[in-house]
Amino acid sequence: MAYFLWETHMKDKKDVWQGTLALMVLKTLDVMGPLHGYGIARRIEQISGDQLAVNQGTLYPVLLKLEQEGSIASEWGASENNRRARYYRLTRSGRKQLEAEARSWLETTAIIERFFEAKAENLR
Amino acid sequence: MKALRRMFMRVLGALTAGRREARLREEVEEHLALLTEEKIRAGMTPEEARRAAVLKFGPVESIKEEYREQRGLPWAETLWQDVRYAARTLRRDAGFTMVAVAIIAIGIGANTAIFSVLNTLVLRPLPFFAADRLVWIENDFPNNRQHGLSGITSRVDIYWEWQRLNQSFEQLEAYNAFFNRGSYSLAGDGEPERVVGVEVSRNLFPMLGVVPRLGRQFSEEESRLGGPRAALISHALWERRFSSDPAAVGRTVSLNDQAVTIVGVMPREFDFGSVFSPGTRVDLFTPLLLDEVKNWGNTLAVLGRLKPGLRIEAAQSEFQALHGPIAEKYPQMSKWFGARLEPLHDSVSGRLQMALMLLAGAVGAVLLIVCVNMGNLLLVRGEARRKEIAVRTAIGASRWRIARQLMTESLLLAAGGAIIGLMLAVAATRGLARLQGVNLPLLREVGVDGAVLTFTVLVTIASGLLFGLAPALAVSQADVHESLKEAARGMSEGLRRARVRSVLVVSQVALACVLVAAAGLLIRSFMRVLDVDLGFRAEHLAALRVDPSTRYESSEKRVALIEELVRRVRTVPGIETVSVTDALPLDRNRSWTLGAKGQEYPNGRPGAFVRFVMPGYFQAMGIPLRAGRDFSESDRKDSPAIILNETGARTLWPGESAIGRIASIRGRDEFHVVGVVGDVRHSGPEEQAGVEMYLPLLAGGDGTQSVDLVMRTKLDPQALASSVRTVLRPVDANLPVAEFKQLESLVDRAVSPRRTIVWLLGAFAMIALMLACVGIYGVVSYTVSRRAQEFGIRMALGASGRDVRLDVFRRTLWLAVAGVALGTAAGLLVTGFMGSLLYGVQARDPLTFAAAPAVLVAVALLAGYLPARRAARIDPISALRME
Repeated sequence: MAYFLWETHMKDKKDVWQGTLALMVLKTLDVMGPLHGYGIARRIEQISGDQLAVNQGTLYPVLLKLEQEGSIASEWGASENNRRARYYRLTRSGRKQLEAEARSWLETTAIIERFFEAKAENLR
Repeated sequence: MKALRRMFMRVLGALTAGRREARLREEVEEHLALLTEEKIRAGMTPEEARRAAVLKFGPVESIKEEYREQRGLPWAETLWQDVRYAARTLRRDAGFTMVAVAIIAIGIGANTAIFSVLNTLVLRPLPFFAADRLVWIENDFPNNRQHGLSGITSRVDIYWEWQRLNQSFEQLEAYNAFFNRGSYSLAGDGEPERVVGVEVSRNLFPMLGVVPRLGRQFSEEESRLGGPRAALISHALWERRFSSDPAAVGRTVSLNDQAVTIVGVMPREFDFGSVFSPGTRVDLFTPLLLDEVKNWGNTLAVLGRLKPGLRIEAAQSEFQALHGPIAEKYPQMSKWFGARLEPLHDSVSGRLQMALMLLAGAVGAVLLIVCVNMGNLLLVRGEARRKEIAVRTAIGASRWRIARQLMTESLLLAAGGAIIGLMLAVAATRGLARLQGVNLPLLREVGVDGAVLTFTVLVTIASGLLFGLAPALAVSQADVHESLKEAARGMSEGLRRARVRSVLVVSQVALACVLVAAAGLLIRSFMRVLDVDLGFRAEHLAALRVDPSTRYESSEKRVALIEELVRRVRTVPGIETVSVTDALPLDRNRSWTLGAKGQEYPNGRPGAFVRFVMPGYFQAMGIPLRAGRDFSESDRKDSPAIILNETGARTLWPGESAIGRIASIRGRDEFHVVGVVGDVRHSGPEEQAGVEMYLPLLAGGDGTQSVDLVMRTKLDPQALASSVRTVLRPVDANLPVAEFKQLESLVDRAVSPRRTIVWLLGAFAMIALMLACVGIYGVVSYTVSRRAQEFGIRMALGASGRDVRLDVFRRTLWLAVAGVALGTAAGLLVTGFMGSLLYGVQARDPLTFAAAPAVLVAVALLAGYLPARRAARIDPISALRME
């Protein structure tokens, strides 16, 4: 569900950030296939055009939460320089979650957009 | 679903915390390494790159912390941490911990034990089927209580009418309430033995839902006059006499020289005596032959089970309405019967409710004192730990966190105390359940069960929170800077904290004062009860039950046998006087109506206890002869002689001499009053003597069926038993003479409920006193050590040791007096509710209310003595140097 938008609007910013980040993580893994934490962070940074000045470390609590929820799974693998790294991949339920949240995200943004476009005279 | 899964993973995470921690560390390390390499590729030096990477990654520790919080169950983990830390701290301070646990164990143990009793007697239903619908139906007519057991039991024909007419009850059953009379001699294998049997109606046990463990219930035939003789035996008798042999069922034994078949063994848990006649052992049951007892007057204890959904009030009014039709049928009985219905549960434990409430209040107060005491101890301990706590606050622990830590410690202490307290309670209730000859109902059932355990857990948590509150609050209000400064410099302590502790001590003294006063009142009542002149002298008096009824059909033969027995016992050395009665005081009672000849009694004739006695009975018992003469050897068959007690003489012929007057018993005018004797309290020390009449046993009749030989001796009565048995054996080898009782033990049993309560309350008061003592000592002693410097300075400036000692004493006295004043006021209020438990003492007995405060002040000064002496011995120089 789109809990990060509607249900948590009263919570503090951290939760909103976590929710947004979670969606980004899911989408990244969907597009890129299995990645380790550093890879996910890099990718998010690239796509968001470095606009998100992320503390990359904040990714890890989000990864843990997604893993606990069963949206992603992880296993050890070799990194680019042949050291041990933890690789995350999307699970089936993660994919479903991604689709649902993407849809509700689009709906939400569409509504918000219409709101912003609406002019006072149009509402009369 | 997702939340559930996440919860599960969290629990898992909490359990595998170590492995997860390692994984996180490795992931972070690798992430940083990759990030560093990226920066190096961008042209930074390795050092710069590492720095930039760490900056980019963010605050590692706080991220890890966040990660951990999400990984497991943070509250469970910190709780576990707190518990471990608390256990460590407590272990380090073993002395304090032991004292604390011991104090709590006493409080919780006492509460658990009393709650088990309360649970059994008041809260739990009786151990019968549909116990809430069981009703006790007592006979009811004006002044019926004066008639003893005869006044509350019912006639068979009335019982039959009730059975026939009532619509309220599913079943109406009965047993013969005079079952001590139905004592049997059991012969067969081994020594003949006296056993106590109760005659029960056929469906009494089925109604109660009690099923024999072996064998069967009574059959229809067996419950009819002239049918086959049957008996159900108790589990205890089965074990004792038949070595738990299943083949005992079906065996034929000799019961009062009649062949009786044992048809079953009752279950172990079924204890008839403990419910219906506390303090009495019941060995066997025989069918109640209603056709046999129907002419014996009031004999039946009636109980029934209400139809489902029916209220007892409805049944009560139905029985009131039934009085008319039944009285029409039995006009001569109309004034002598009625019905008072009461839930069986109330009739069993009702009269104890007040005492139980008092005891519950008392243990509650003890627990409160324990909590106050613990609160105080923890406060003192908190003072000593202020530096530690200040340091923890300074490095970032929140107040809430520290308060929680202290609460955890309190709860841990409470739990420790509860475990030991529970063991104490189990031991205490076991002991209580095994008490013999104590006249309290359901005692055997008392024990620790699920309800009791729940109670203990709740009480433990509540008291842990309660006594942990004060120190936790103190911490949350403490000022870090001040704490660090004060702790370092050993200044006199803050006034406010000292005041809190004083208030705690004062309330403790007050509570103890209330308890001591209440216990004092009960002890004085008990002493008054023991001092009551029973009308006879129980010391050195022994009694032996003999029943000639079965083998000797004619009453002449029975009289001859009794006379022979008396002649023989008289030859035993050490015996001063021997006589015979058919009913010992405090043992059996039954009553007949009695009146003066020619006198009309519009409200019914008075009931009088009847005793058949041999000449010399009054002398043997130590009952004073007030006027006239004792019975003589010539008061035999058809003798019209009767002896009354003083109350009887006064009731029948007020203001006149009774000697030579003619009395009528049960409507027959033929009895000449030959003597008047002192009153005897036949129903118990706390019951006024009623009207009593004595008839000559040598005249034969009713009184010769089963009698007690009473023997006054200079020796220990128990030592006589064997020689008496030896001289009696030649008369009749099968005469059961096992039951050799001392009259003192009868008195003992009569006062046993009161004694038990006095013991318990006395013990609680002692505990309260001790705890108050510890509390005062703790506070005064602590004050002295805090003020050591001040005392040092004062002594250096010329104060003597005596001045300092007096100063400490004065403070102690002030605390004690404040507590005592409060306690006395509260005590006066509380004891007002004790009225029904007191005997011969006013609720506001001045002696008690002078003694209780005095005792407490004395104890307080005693507790203050050691610290005061220590204060006086402070060496000014070392005190000033002490930094």
